[in-house]
Order: sequence, then C-alpha cells, then structure tokens
Amino acid sequence: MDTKKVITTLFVLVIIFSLLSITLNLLYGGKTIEVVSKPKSVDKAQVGLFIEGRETGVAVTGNSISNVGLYVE
Amino acid sequence: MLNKNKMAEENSVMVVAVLAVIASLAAAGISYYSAISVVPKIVGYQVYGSTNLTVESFAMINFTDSSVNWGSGKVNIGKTKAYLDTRSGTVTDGNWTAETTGLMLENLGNVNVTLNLSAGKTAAQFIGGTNPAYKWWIRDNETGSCINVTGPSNGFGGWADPSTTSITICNPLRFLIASNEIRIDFNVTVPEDATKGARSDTITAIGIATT
Repeated sequence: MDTKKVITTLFVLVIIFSLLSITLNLLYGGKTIEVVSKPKSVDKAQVGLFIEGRETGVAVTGNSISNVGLYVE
Repeated sequence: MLNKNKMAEENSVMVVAVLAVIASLAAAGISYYSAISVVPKIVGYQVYGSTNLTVESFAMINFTDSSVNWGSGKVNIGKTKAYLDTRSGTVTDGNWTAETTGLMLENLGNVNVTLNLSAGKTAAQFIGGTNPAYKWWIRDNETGSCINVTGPSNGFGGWADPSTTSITICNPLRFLIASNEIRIDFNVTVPEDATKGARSDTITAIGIATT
C-alpha cells in the first residue's frame, strides 16, 4: 500500500474530525446556558369536625290517654 | 542507506498522523458527547446578546383561610343525617357550629400557576357510617381568577367528590391582585352511625408556574 496515500487519508480524517469538533463547539460551546426550572409552591389546609355520640334514650313523640265513661242508674 | 532513512521518516510521519487522527477523533467525540448531554437539559438558554435586568419568576400560593372547622356536634335525635355546608353557611339536623366561609386560596406570586388540588380522604374515610357525603365546590372569589378548562366535573362551579389524587382545577390561576383568589366550599353529610370522634382531612394545593 502506498504510504503517501495512507498518510494523506489520515490527515484528511484529522481535518474532518477537527472541523466537526469546531462546529460542535461553535454551536454549543461558550454559551451561557441557564437551566430554568419552573417555580412551584405547595400549601395545605384542614377540614374537620368532631362527631359526638348521641345520647341513648326513648323519645316520646305523643301520648294520649282518654277515658270515656258514664254511669247509668 | 538513503532509502532506509526515507522509510524511517515515512514511518515516523505515519505514527504522528495516526496519533493526530486518534486525538482528533477523541476531541470530536468529547464535543459531541458534551453537546448531546447538555441540549436535553436546556429549558431556556440565551442565544444572542446579554441581559442586564432579570425579573425572577416567583410562584407562591397560599391558603389565606386555611381551616374549615365545624367544631363538635351530633345528629339531632329523630334524624338520620345532618348536613353541614359552608357555601350556604348552614348546619341542618345537627348542632355543629355553622361555617360561613370555605377555604380561600390566593396566588401571591408574580406568575400564573397551574393549580392542582387534592383531598386526603374519601367520604367513607373522612366521615364513615352509612352513605356519608363529602363534596367540594370551587369558584372564583375574585372574578377571572381561575381559568378552568376541565368543567364542573372536578368541582369548579358545582358539587363534586374531592379527588384523592392531584387534579388540575385552574390552568392557570392568575396572579394579578384583582383576580388571584378562589374559594373552596365543602358540603358534608354526617349519618347517625358516622364514626365518632375527631374527623379531619387535609386539602393540598400545588401551584406550578406556567412560564
């Protein structure tokens, strides 16, 4: 294999990779990159009550005693 | 002898060339790796010029009224259920203390936020007993505060079961002072066989800046 051709090919590769490297650096290198995370806020609130036991017992809703009478001599 | 020297020279050049290729390839690889690892992380980056004034985004939501507490009470004798409602400010068929205000939530930051709300418990977990009910109703306390896109099924503008998973209510909840506050009302039905004792639930609000 011709040594000159091999060397030429290698240097062409060097040039290609160097150009690629330069391009990437121009695109993304040396810039001020600010990573912005979205601000977030959390708050909590309470809903509550106390449930009491109900008294046991009997509720009288109505009471009626009637006497109807007569005396017959 | 001359030919031998020439060959040695060519070999040296070859070695240098190979080393150059390796170094160049490594440099290109490092540049590529750096670029692809940085680009996905960029949310916003400055492309041109410079900025000499920065306005910081500040998200802050706050329950300005952070408690609904009906106190202690019981279902009236002869009744199967009591109804507690902050929207109407009434307690029916029970002797709890009426609450006339619901929770108030305000966006105190300087950005609109996507507002997500969640409750910690279902009606059965919160109240217990036979057919308990636990509902919320969300509305603007200041007109135009909440831009609602999901409709009343989640509780905006109507009674709905509080979600125990975080759901979006406002997108966005605005930050302008005249329109940055919403109100959350609650309606609880306490059956006569409800779980006795202190009952409470936690409402969690999460605001995430929209920009």
